[in-house]
Amino acid sequence: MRWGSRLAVALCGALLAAAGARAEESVGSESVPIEVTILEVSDQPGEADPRCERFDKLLRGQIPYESLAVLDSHRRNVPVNDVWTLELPTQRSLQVRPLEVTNQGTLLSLDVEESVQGDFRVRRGQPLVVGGPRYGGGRLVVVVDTE
Amino acid sequence: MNERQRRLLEAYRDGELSWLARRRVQRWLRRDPRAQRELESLETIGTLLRDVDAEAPAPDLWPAIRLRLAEAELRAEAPVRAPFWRGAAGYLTLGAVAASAAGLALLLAGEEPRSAAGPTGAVRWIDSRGHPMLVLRDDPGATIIWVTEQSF
Repeated sequence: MRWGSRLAVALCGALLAAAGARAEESVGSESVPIEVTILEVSDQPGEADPRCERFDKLLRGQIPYESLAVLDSHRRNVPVNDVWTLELPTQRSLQVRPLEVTNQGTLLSLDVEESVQGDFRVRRGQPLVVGGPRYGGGRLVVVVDTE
Repeated sequence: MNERQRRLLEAYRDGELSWLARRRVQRWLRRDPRAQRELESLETIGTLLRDVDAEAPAPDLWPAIRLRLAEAELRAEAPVRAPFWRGAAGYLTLGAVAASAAGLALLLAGEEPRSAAGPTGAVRWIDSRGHPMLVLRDDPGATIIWVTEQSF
């Protein structure tokens, strides 16, 4: 009976540990809705694009430009640890990989081919903006956001 | 130590783990001297980076400098049309500004791991593969990284 009790306690412990591990795995295997927007900023005046209002608020005062245009926009649910690869207008690739989701945001690994790479904690409404290279008559800007 | 373990230790150091995960890491640290050393290294690096941040320019000065640097870069490769760019003095001025920008960029980011600018910062680490780069903003509103050369 004594051994039976010990066995029961050990089994309960194992079950609790397994449940905890599964709970962690379920957090790790969830998908992250990611939006990537490609913009062009230019020092030439241009027409006001209503889609740019949010980005204009982000960038105004940070970099000098006269006009802002949305070139492309992509949206996808990316499972944690999966890599989402996009091609930029410059023919270089952009890779986004969600590493971890916590209540403090999503840890994203970002890799722009032959350029910036790093890990960033992106929160909803706190986008990651990477820009600078010449494109067309202006500069290319990539905005990565989670929902 | 693999990348996942390193990230776990970073999250533990930053207080980002749940209670259960934190307990697990504490058990792991008690058992594994390598993990203890790694955590100590991370804490040392964090302290050094905080010291560097403390020596940064005054906050009322830096936004103005930053905007000027980005402006110089944005116009550096624009078609030659404004009188400012026509003279040799203009090129010298631009060269000086660009050199300052590159120097500051390397100081600010470069290829070194960068601590987030406070608990709300998004940048965990960053590598520009040798391209001059500025972190223009890293706060709850957005994180803006500006690469100052043709690089992607």
